Amino acid sequence: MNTPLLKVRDLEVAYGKKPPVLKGVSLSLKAGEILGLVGNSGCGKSTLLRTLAGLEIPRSGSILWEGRERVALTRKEGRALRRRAQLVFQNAREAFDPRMRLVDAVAEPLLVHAPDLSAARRREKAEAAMADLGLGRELMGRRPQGVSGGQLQRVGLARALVVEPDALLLDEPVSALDVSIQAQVLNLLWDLRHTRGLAMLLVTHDLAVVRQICDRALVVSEGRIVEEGVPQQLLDHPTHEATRLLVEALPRCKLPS
Amino acid sequence: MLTRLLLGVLTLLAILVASFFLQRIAPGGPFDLERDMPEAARQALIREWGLDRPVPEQLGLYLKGLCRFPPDLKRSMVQPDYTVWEIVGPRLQVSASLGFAALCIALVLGIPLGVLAAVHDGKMADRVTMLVALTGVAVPAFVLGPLLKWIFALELGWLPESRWVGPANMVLPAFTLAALPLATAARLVRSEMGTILRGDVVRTARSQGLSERRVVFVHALPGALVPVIPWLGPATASLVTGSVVVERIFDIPGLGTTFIDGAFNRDYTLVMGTVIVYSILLILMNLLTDGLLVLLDPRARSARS
Repeated sequence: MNTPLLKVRDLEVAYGKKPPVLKGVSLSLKAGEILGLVGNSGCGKSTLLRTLAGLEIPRSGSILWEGRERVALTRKEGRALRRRAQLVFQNAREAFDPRMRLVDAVAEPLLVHAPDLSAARRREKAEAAMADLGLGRELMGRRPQGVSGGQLQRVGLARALVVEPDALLLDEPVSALDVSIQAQVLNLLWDLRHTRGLAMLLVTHDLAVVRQICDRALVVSEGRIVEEGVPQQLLDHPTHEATRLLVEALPRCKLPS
Repeated sequence: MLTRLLLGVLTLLAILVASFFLQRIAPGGPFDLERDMPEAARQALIREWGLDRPVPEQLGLYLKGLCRFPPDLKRSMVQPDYTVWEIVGPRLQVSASLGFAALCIALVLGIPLGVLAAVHDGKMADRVTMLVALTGVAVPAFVLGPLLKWIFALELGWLPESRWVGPANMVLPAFTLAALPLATAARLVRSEMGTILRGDVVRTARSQGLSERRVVFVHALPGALVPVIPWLGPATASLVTGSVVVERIFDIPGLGTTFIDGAFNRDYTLVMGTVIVYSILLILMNLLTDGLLVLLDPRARSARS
């Protein structure tokens, strides 16, 4: 029971023959934990997320889901693992096929992860997943261009949740949204963690987001994890230069109470 | 749709007016080639065809004829025994069937080649496919045509070398005519598909574990066809109205040759007839492809509304 949901050891990832983007990254994620990955653009945090989702193949190192090696899994086991860790992208508008109705897009992962379900049953499940996130019935038949950015990010979450995963891999889930919508989505993530016990690995460049929602945070710089701690501690006492720069980037002005 | 149709009619009118005046500006006239014709007879012909009247008046009369039902395309000035439609009609049929065959070859081979290249981006399959496509663009019909004829008709004897008698005669000219559009279609699909395959739609689909076949054919291919559609309109119109080079190489009685001969002979009415046929086809094809584009790309629909 004490085995972490995800354990990464000495991960090295490179694109082609170029120098590695990730150099010896190690981390662990417990069930129900929200772990923040912060860092500037290009530091390798999104690559890390994509590698964990199985989209990039690591050059070396290991990825263990509940103690089992990710790379050594059979195809069927790999598919089962993909169900357990669902990826949600930053720009929901670009992550949806513009030709597909939203309810069909949400139902699509069930084709792989629940192949025995009938089309009608898949649709029912998709509708239920959307309704759970407060998406009205009138949105279900629309296409992505017919809904707002915030609604679409919710649909993205519904698509991830329809296969009942254990963890969400969130790549800058709120950075493309208006501030008021950001708060709604963060609240939704917070609720999901409490109601479903979901673990989340949240990639962001915004320390404010980390402070609001994460239990723990890792600072990534130039492909390495340079600092780790609870968000408030990182904000108050940054020890690494990269963390200090991120803290200084936070707005310092305070509104009069 | 009604606005687009009206715009099409206006475009047609502008093309007609411009072609009419351009022909009259070009030196020479339809009766200059008949050298042994007495001057009085020549003048009589010019009067009979109304060529002595001011050009705007001639245009007005011509347009009036077109407004009748069925439209009056007049007789050919150089072959007055035939109406323009009697010359253009059968040749359009030949050119259209050849062009349609070439278009089918171009799409049936070009689109899969583009998909193959995009899916194997940077690998051998991609390089070979793009080399084929580049050859299609770079080798002109007057080289490819004789080459195909030499190999398949003269050396191997598999296909007839020229003339327009049966379906077998269509194969070599159709492939010659298809080379350029095939290469263009392959390049258009490869380029757009490459962009889509690197995008978040495909990444999301892959991260969900969807099969590569579903990723390529359901999520990437419809989008990759979008840039092919606007190109398809003008390409179809130009293919079905004939190519003078291919028609000359394979001795085919098509519309391209008719147009060039008409222009050389200053056969004003025949040239106008072919211009009208080509323009109407081009405008109709553009309208049709606009409709197709909306079907394939819902963003085009929302942008329009």
